Amino acid sequence: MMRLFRPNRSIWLAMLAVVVTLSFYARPAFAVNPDEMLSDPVLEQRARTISEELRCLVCQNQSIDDSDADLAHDLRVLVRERLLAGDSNQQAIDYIVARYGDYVLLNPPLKPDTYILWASPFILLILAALAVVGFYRRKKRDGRTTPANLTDQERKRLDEILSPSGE
Amino acid sequence: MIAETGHFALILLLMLGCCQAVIFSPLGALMRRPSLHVTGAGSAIAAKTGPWQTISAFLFSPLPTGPAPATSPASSLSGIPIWPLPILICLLAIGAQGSLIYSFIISDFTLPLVTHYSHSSTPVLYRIAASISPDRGATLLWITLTSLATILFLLQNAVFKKSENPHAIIGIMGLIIALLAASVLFDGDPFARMANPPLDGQGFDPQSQDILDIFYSPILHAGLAGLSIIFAATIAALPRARLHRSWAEMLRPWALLSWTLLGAAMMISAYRAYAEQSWGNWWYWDASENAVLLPWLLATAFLHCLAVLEKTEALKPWTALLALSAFGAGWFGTFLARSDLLGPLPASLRASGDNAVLLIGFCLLFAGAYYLFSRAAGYLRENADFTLVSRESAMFINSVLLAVAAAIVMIGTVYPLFLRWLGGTIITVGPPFFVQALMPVTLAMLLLMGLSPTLRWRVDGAASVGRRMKLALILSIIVTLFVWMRHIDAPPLPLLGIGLAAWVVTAALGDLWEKLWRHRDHGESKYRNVKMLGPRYLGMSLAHIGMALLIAGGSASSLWEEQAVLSARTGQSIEIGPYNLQYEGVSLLPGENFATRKAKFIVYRNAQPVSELYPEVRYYPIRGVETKESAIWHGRDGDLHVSIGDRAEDSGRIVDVRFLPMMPWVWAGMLLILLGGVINMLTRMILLFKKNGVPAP
Repeated sequence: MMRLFRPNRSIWLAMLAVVVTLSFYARPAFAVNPDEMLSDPVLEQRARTISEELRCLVCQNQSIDDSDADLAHDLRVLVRERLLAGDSNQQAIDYIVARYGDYVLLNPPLKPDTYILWASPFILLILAALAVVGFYRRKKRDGRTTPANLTDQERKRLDEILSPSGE
Repeated sequence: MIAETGHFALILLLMLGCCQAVIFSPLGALMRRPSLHVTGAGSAIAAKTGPWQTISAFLFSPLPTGPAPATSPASSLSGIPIWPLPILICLLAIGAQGSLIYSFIISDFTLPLVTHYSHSSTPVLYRIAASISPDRGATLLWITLTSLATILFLLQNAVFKKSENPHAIIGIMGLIIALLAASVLFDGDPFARMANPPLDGQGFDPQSQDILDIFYSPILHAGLAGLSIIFAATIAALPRARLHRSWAEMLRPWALLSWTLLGAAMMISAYRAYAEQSWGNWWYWDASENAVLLPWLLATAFLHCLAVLEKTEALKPWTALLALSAFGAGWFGTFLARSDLLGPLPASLRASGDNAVLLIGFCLLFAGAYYLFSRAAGYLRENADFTLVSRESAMFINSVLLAVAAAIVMIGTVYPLFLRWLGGTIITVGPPFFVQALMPVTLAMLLLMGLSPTLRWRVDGAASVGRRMKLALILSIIVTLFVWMRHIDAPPLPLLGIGLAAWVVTAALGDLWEKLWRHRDHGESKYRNVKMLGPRYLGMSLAHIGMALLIAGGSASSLWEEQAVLSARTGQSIEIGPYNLQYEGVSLLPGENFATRKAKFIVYRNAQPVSELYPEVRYYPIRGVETKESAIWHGRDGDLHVSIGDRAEDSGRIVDVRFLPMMPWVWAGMLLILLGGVINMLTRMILLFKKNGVPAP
């Protein structure tokens, strides 16, 4: 029951060979293919910069510049088409955001939805600073900010302990 | 039959975990002999009434503030032997784990988990990996390692007798184990057989099919198990506010162990992302990476506060809060990484069933824990006898910064989720946000990190600190200026990162120098001075230098990366950085359960061949997935990162070559951080055995 399917090795290799041959005809899957690239190096560089800010919609936190997914390929081609059509960087990004929403931007835009997000580092730092200042002020109020100086008796005892002849 | 045995063991484990929780926990002790535990107003109520009133008295009456009552709950439990239950639970967990691994090895496709993550063609090694890495198998491994940690804790307690209240700790460990076991059983039982099993499984996740990846799950969950001991010991110490020096000493090895293990897990995940993807990036800030980063950040903060507490009994509430939060972040992160709340999971990780019980367990455990903390925190006696300029201060402020960093990571991770629930737009919080938000915090931390080891405990003068740090300050400014002059167009933040890294390294080396040579006049040998530095010092220095290298390498490699994507023909040579690569063509080879196109590159440097690289594209027919295995050459001034793609339209081979300068610093830095943890643990262990008269192994 447990080993119903157990291909013998030669069948297995033959199967692999078939699959591999087939896979040669599959869509090339690679982040930024040379065929996608624009001949104009300035435009291509702009396309790369834009691509790094756009999210591959089916991946986890990868930019379309980094992703092998087909959707990322389509978006890369779309970005390059927009640039060829004469869009500025911002226009090309806006074009894609208009179709896919803010979700496509890896760097969340600053707008009412994300005020809290962008403010959070500052708020946290201010809270932490207040807490630390409060800690030290409380400590000061409680007294004993510095350890008390040694009394003469203690100093004498310490000298006794530390002097080499005391051993 | 084996699977049924495992199923039974798991159910028994859940029951026994509950038993252990009830018998040994403070609450259990409370119900059995209330008057012993709750003093003052609470005991007066408890003596007269039943268990529910007792619990409410425990929850709402003021906590005892004075010294611990003469009869502690531990003594009321002394009649119950402490060993049998944890050992039994550990054996059952190993049994359940073993039966699941066995079911994977024999490819028992009547179990849904096996069908989901394995295939008859999967090599045995990866069948085992499939049984412990994703989904319920991972939770089961977490249980097993937690129960092993419990045994280890009992051994530590038996040998060194450090813990005041081992029974309560064992009880809370029982609770944790029971909650995790409930999650395995009710979130999607891995041992429930299917009525109509498929002929074969869906295969192991090809992205994870790598030797290094096998160790990820055990290391991560061992780290979480260590954190759970810290959590339990904190909960056990809180009700009577007994967070003393002995508590800190007892937890020190656990903090080191889990910190080192979590760091190792992050390193594996970073290196695998680097080698598996074709674009030389190593950290994506996705949910599963943040799930490890969060507890690591908090464990780092905890480790430092624990050192302060051990030395001066200060910062008790803060240390306790960090101890609770580190485990909480670990648990919550695990939940987030396994759920698809934050966007689609890769097909290979999509689990059967949801993680509802895991989340409910988290809420129950940590609502209780934080409630207890909120009530006990006021009673923790502080001995904060240090000034603003002192080592305690530097470590305290740095731990606050670490906690802020953790909070930023947490908010960035869950923010899209909340926005979606609130009906707002769906957004992405990607790497740019994390880098921008964390950079200032990290730089401030580096500044303090360089300063802290040279500061004196309790009191130090700003003027004398300035005198001691003068050299490090000048050297690091020189390094920054030098880098800036060579790369005048570099953006300021990474430049600052490099400068601060130089500051940390020079400060650490300068301090080591001073400590080694300070006693020269007394005619003592340097070897003796090395011994006098103590077990902590070397580990700490290594970890700090490692962190600095990591930051410097990360900043530099992102700045000066060189990249070329081209369509290459056999024999073509490619110039990149100081290297020259010759492409030797691609050969088609069968793998164990995949077919691979393996390219050969000969790496030349100054016309001398230095290495050969074999990047691959693998095709896994079972899942129909292609993976890219990049080939990496760690040169002395940078990493050469090569990967191949498919055939280009002009029938050449698509090749992606990158030169990432200073990237080896990142890996060396990570290794040094791990080494620091390991060395600290080893020396500590040797010293402990010597002191206690137990022969060192």
